[in-house]
Amino acid sequence: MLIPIPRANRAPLSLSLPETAVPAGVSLATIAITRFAWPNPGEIVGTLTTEFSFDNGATWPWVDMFQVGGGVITRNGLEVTESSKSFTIPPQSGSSPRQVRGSVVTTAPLDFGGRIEIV
Amino acid sequence: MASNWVRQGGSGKNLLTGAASPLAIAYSPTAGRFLVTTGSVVDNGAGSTTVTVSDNIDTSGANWVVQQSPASGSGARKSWIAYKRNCESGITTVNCKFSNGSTQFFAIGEVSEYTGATTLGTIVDFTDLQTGTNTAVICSGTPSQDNCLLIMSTSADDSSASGAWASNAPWTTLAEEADTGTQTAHKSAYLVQGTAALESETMSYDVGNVPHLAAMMAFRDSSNDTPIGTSASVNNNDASMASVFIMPGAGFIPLLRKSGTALQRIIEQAMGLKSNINSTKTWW
Repeated sequence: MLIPIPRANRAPLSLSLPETAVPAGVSLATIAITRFAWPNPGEIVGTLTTEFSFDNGATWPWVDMFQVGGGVITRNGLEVTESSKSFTIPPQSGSSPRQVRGSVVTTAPLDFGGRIEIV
Repeated sequence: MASNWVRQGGSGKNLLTGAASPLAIAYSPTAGRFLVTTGSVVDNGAGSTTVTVSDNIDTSGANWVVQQSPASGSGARKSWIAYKRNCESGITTVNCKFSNGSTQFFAIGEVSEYTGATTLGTIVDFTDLQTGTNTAVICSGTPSQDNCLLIMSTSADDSSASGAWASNAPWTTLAEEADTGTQTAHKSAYLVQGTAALESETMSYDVGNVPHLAAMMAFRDSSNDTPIGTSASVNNNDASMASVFIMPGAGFIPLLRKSGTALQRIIEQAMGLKSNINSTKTWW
């Protein structure tokens, strides 16, 4: 499943992502953010935190954090135009559904688009 | 005898993309636990990087010990394993710092906590730091004791293409990132070994012609923390008996606490202190 994130110039934001069931069979999710002239080089300008539950939301033992820096970033002399992160999601244990929740915080205006891929 | 090592929790994966040091990992362990952080880092070409670890209580990192793999390839790619025994109360953030002043680090790390660590002597049984081939890296070692906790931290250069890590069962994954060409690929895992035996573990990332590197460490558990003999028994003034046990690597520990001249003298002599049998000082 591919979920596009439309490009837009977004003001600083703080969002909570509500508890959502992870579809059966899903084992990997990837989020990729396309960067367009971001400000604040060297500083962390965006943080995505995700938590996973394997007992239908009773406990949240699996936490991932994804932090992205501002400015133009390079690797091997080339501009990095996309920041991405994968989530390897452990399989369902017994009959308890898996859940995911999280938050997104950005601290500067950011022009970005991107995609979420779930397999 | 089964191993006493038990993983009690962990932070999950933390990823820093194109920002300045440190990689700050939010995690609040229980005081007294054995803490481990693993991770990998690469920068945008600023040069050699040294990894240090600290936390919000131990701000200088004096109680953290860091082992890091050899650097490899562009951006001084490294993997690290760092540990802290008997962690302090109040830790909420572990900071993994990178030295070279770059403002564009790509780093992945996690923190996990364990019970069952040896309380005596050295905790590290062995350390193996390796660079690998262009498809895999192998770390290996044979612990000198049963029931060790083995931890491995691995990185592969995925700047040319994306790939996936091979399975490492029966090891348990701590953090894994198989990425899309703009960051570093990383995998760390642990294994609680029973009977000491050669452990040779291959970490394979299925993108051709990319450098791999890794660190592996083995840590001793408390199942070997047993008394090995009785050195003295004393009939004290009130006919109570006291025993002094020799513990490997820790000197002696009096098991019965009491004041008294005969016992005090033996303890003082054993410690190399001047005995004063007329002292009214109460030792315990």
